Amino acid sequence: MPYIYMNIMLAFVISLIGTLMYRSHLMSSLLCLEGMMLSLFTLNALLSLNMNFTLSTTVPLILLVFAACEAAVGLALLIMISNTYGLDYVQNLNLLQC
Amino acid sequence: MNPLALSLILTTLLAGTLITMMSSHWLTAWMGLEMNMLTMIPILMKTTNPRSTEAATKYFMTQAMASMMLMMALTINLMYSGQWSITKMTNPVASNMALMALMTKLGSAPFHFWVPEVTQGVELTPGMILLTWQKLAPLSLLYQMATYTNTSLIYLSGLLSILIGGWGGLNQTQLRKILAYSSISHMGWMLIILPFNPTLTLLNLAIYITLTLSIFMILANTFTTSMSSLTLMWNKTPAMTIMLMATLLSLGGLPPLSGFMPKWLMIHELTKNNSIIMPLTMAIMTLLNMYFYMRLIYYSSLTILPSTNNMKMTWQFTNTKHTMTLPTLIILSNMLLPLTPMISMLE
Repeated sequence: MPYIYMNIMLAFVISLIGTLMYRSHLMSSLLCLEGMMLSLFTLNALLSLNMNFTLSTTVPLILLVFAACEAAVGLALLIMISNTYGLDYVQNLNLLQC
Repeated sequence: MNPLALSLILTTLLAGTLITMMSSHWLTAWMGLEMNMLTMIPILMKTTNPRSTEAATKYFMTQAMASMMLMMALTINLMYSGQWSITKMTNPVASNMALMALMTKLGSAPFHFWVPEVTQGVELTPGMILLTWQKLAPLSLLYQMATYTNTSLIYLSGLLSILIGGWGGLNQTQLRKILAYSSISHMGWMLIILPFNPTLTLLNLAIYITLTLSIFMILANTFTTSMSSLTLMWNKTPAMTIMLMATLLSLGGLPPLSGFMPKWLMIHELTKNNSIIMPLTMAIMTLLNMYFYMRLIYYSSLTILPSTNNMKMTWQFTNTKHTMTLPTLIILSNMLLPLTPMISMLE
């Protein structure tokens, strides 16, 4: 497999680990979610260009649209949490434990 | 909620699931799953208290991460096979990664941690939509792509789901969490039979949705969300108490009720394939589920807990809450067992 694909997949894996292992802020998790989306966008764009999938050249753009919607919803939820607690610390989200 | 906004949101929910179920191209299936997730957030946040916000945030984070993992699996599949067809995902890395993403979306172990908390944080009606309608889209994708995945992963996840669904629900007093663990357990049954006979997965899904809808509608009708309010139901609506008992027994899989049908057929199918230990373990672990359903039945209809005399003589109001399709659903969830030979229609 060409080196460039492995590089971007490594970027995806690092962003995935960043989504799952964050210290206190929810914002860093949302940022890593966007990082995952960015690496997916780059990988898809490179694949469409290198392997001449001419019909799939719109795929990165569609991914970008949905990722933008997700980012907006994520930020709106972050703001609602900040309304309640003043910060976006994830240890505040403990109301629903068993 | 504003009726125009509510109709738009429900239409998008319907459209998202239908787009995923009717697609043969992975990209449209992924777009349908995204639409489902995005439009579920305002449904979960109908009431704007901190618990709903926390539930919506946890739902959003897990489902968004699963969507991204699914998209990565699709991109790896594109890299190795050059096509986007759902049924031909031959690369093992891609198909197992997509399997794990879809299992996260369904809420089966070991990715089940969001289900009890999100179901607990929202009202009964959004919780109902979460546990029934949101299972249709990922299961339709799993139905099509499971042939190329590692079956050991499916068995592991299914067995863990049944174990965790059984043990997790034992210590709960809130009805929404009990129903969430019941959902995890039923997902386990549906996953295990997927490599053997996918038609039984769909049958189990259909009967599980009927049963869960019945239970949620009975609870929503009497505004009960915890076991302590369940103990007072006998005075307000005794008929619903008996219906709840019958439907809960059916959910646990007792014979003459229709919940027995999928479990019986699945154990039959598994033993036909010379697998004895797995259905034995599954059947025994489901008894844990049966224990906490029996506890609910005990507290709601079989005993009257000590209460003041005021509680025993409440004013009998007429029920003004509209019971939409509840009588039909209750009959379907209790009396379908004689129609078992008709499942040959599903093949």
